[in-house]
Amino acid sequence: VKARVRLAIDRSAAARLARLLRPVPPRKERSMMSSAVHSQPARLATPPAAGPAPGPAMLGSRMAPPFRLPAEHFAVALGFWVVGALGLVWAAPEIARGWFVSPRVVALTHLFTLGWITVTIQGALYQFLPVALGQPIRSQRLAHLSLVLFAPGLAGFVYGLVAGVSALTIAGAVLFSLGLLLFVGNLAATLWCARHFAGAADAAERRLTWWALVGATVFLAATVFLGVALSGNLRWGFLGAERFLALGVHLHVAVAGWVMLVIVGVAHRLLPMFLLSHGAPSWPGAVAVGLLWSGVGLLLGVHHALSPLLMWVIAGMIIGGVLSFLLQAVLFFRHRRKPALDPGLRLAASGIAFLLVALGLAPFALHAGLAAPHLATAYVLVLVLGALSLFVAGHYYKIFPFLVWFHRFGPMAGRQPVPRVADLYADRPANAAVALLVAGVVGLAAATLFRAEWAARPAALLFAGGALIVAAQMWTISRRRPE
Amino acid sequence: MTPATPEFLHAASLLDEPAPPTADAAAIDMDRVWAALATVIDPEIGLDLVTLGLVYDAEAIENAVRVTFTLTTPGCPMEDILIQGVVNAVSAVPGVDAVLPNLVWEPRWNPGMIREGAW
Repeated sequence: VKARVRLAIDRSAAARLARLLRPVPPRKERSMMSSAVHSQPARLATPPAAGPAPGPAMLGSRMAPPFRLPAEHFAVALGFWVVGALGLVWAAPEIARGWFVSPRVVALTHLFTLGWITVTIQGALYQFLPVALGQPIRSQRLAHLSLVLFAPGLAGFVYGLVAGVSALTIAGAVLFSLGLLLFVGNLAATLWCARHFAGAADAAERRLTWWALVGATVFLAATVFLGVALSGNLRWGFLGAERFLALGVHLHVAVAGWVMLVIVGVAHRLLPMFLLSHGAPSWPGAVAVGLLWSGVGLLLGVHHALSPLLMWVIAGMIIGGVLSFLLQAVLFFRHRRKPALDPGLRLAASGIAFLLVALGLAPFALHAGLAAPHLATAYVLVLVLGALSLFVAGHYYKIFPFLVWFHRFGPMAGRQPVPRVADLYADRPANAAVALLVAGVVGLAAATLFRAEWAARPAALLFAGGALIVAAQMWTISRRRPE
Repeated sequence: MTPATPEFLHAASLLDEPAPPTADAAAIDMDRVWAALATVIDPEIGLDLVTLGLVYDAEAIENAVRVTFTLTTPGCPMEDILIQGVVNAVSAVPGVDAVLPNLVWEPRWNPGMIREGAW
């Protein structure tokens, strides 16, 4: 009898405990929801003990990487950004002359495309993958190692080009290519682990981002192989007359295949989040991924037998993909609840506007080809420096302060007043940076299009001023700590 | 047998001498609970969880408070920090012995749930 009574008491206590711990839907929805409710089991939490605030290790999101991993990438990328901006002032007259194959201009292009854009994308992806795909990067050790190989490799490659030391150029290219291939393998393994997303609350968004990142990974690997071939051609010249075609394919696989697909996949999650956009249709994003995938894939597959007709078909697919992305971005901006744009979003919007300008120049540059090097140079300048670099710079004002807030101020949430992410930097210098960068790109593009060499260096100085302000603000943000 | 965790033992201790739920619930001022929740901000958006419409419900169960809330997006990197923020803030309300953060994904939050005039 005693045992039965004890069992009855235990069952009663267990039932009360279960009632206390059970997950419940929100009160206003209870009548209409039953098994459709997706909630994680409620966690019991006791009041925090008195004493110092717990550190990030206790609180940090379970899948977020340690601060060091994205931070070291952003630090390296900002270093290349500053060197690139100063180099732009030095090489501006050559750009205005349309010498897009001069060693200085090629070195600068790689400082921006690889040093600034690609390293930033790597750091941002390490932070973004758990958010977008529910999967952290497969190996943090490989992620560190790829940067260790990449950064000195790129520095050697750039110095080799500028100084005319072809052995150093090739050695640098091999070194940073190894770093990039390690990154490609690491990202591919991560995407493989994240391939099952059916049933996730955000399955539709995950699917689009996943396919975009798979394409980006494939095309980055292809870009690396094409780049190594071009680098070897500098010494051995085996490409002959085909080298300009190979250069064009290399550039467009990199820009449309690697960078644009990452931008489409990431922006599909981040833009609505940053803009508080609601109700925008998402089909243009899917169309963009499909067209970029097929256009760049076709370019890679048939580049050795490219007829003029095929070239225009491929160009049409890629331009269509970028236009679809632009439509998606405009829809996100139009459906936003956030009334005012902060400096980061202004820079990103400027990048999107420059992308539209680049699309306008693309058909003319393609039609004129090598007969109009000014046009080709202006097109690449607007695309790389205006569209992609500024879009990336805009996201620095969102991602970097957030990282600092997350690791330094996050543990104090609910205990004491904490600043907003936007409070970690001053608006006025940030707005000045936006104005200088935009003016610099417009000035450089105009100087190149109209062959006004005299205007190129002042325009480059404006750009460099904006770039230095961005770097200085990021440095200031990195020093912010709770008082 | 796996030993009970401290959290489990704490929850069980609440049941040792059960009192009428209404009496304990009345001891917690829910207005203060909601005011405490309004001190937790989403640092990116710059608004607090209540104004954002992220808190769906808060109810007193004896000396505990269960807060049913959501995040702006699944996979939000702020998940752990906001959960801890909710716990920290509500724990400071007099009479609250335990906080039960109940994170749900249905109904899915959208920016239309932000309180009018928030900006």
